[in-house]
Amino acid sequence: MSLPIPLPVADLERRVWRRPGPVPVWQGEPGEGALFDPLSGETHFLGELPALIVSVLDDHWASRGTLVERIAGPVALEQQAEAQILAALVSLEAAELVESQSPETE
Amino acid sequence: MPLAEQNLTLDAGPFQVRVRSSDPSFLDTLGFFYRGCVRHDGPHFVDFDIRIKRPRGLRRWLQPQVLFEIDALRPFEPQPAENAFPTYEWGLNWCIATSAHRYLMLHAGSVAFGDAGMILPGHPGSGKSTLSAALTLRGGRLLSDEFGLVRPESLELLAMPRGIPLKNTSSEAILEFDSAAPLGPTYPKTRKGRVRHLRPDALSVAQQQRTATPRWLVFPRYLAGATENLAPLDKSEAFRQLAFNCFNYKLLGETAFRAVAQIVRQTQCFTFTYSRLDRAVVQLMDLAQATGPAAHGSPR
Repeated sequence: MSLPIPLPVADLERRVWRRPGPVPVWQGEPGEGALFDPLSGETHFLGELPALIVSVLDDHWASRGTLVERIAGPVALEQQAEAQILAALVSLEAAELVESQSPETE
Repeated sequence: MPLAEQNLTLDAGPFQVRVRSSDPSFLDTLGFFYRGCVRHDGPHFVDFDIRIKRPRGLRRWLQPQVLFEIDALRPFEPQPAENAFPTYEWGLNWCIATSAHRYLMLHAGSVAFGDAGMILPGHPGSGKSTLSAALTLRGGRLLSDEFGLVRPESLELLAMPRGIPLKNTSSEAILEFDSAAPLGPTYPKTRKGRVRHLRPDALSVAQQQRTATPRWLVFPRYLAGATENLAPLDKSEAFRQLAFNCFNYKLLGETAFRAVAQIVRQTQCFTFTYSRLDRAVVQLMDLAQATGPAAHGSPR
């Protein structure tokens, strides 16, 4: 289900995320280089943070907090870094590489 | 007395092409370029069945035209009769580009040094055909000037040595580079401007069933007055540019992605800006000799 644009930040922060469909194919190691999405047949050229996010998401729903921990470990990120992760998730959803839903839907 | 229609079979790398025509000028030119590939009695199965013929009616005689038929279909408008040979060449390119999806097809020149292949991807105007021509005049084995044909399962580069079309001032550049270069007739008014073709050398034709392994990926860019500059290219950018220069990338999907990724992984990747053909060839030959596999002996 695609996001309505725009959502309030508080709503976005509460959403859960996952990568649907088959595992993507990377040009190099997971998170490196171009990415092929078998679901859409599209090739994507991602920046470092979006590539990292796609590489740590699977087909199980994960909260933003879980995702941050997968990326950065058990550390507290600065607000700016968390905002960048949220922005990356929104752009990845627009590219149909990830999907999100409200936690109440689970 | 009009010439009877000739029925010839040509070896064009992995393809068998049947060519039928009664046009004596076209047949003479075909013989000039492909004498080593032409058979008068070929196999029953061919990949492409092409006919070059004059239309019926007034246009047979008045401002005569020529038709390109593939499997009895006519995908193009009639062309001036004097352009029969380039019409055949571009028509065959179209046949390959629209049907040979068993291969990964790169918009690239490709030249081999021994069994090591140099791929030169680029759009029209990049200089890939002129560079490919010049490299073969200095001992490189011509694989193709237009189609980098790759078997995706093995990444072998296939050879399809054909006449190299040199557009506009490129033919003069080649003659300045090598005054003995075997060029065919000049076609002053084609849809791509003035064109003259370089005949493929006999050794490249004789070895057209010999494949090559990609070793270098060089993205050429002709820039008048520029100093030659061969610069290493980041692998991610090399992937992006090679995918962009792949005719059937989207059609082949994951197969193309994996093949392009592996080609980039196993090759040395460069951008190459040049203006002087003689210096450009020296630089690329030096690259091939300095970094080619130690196993290959002579340049061919």
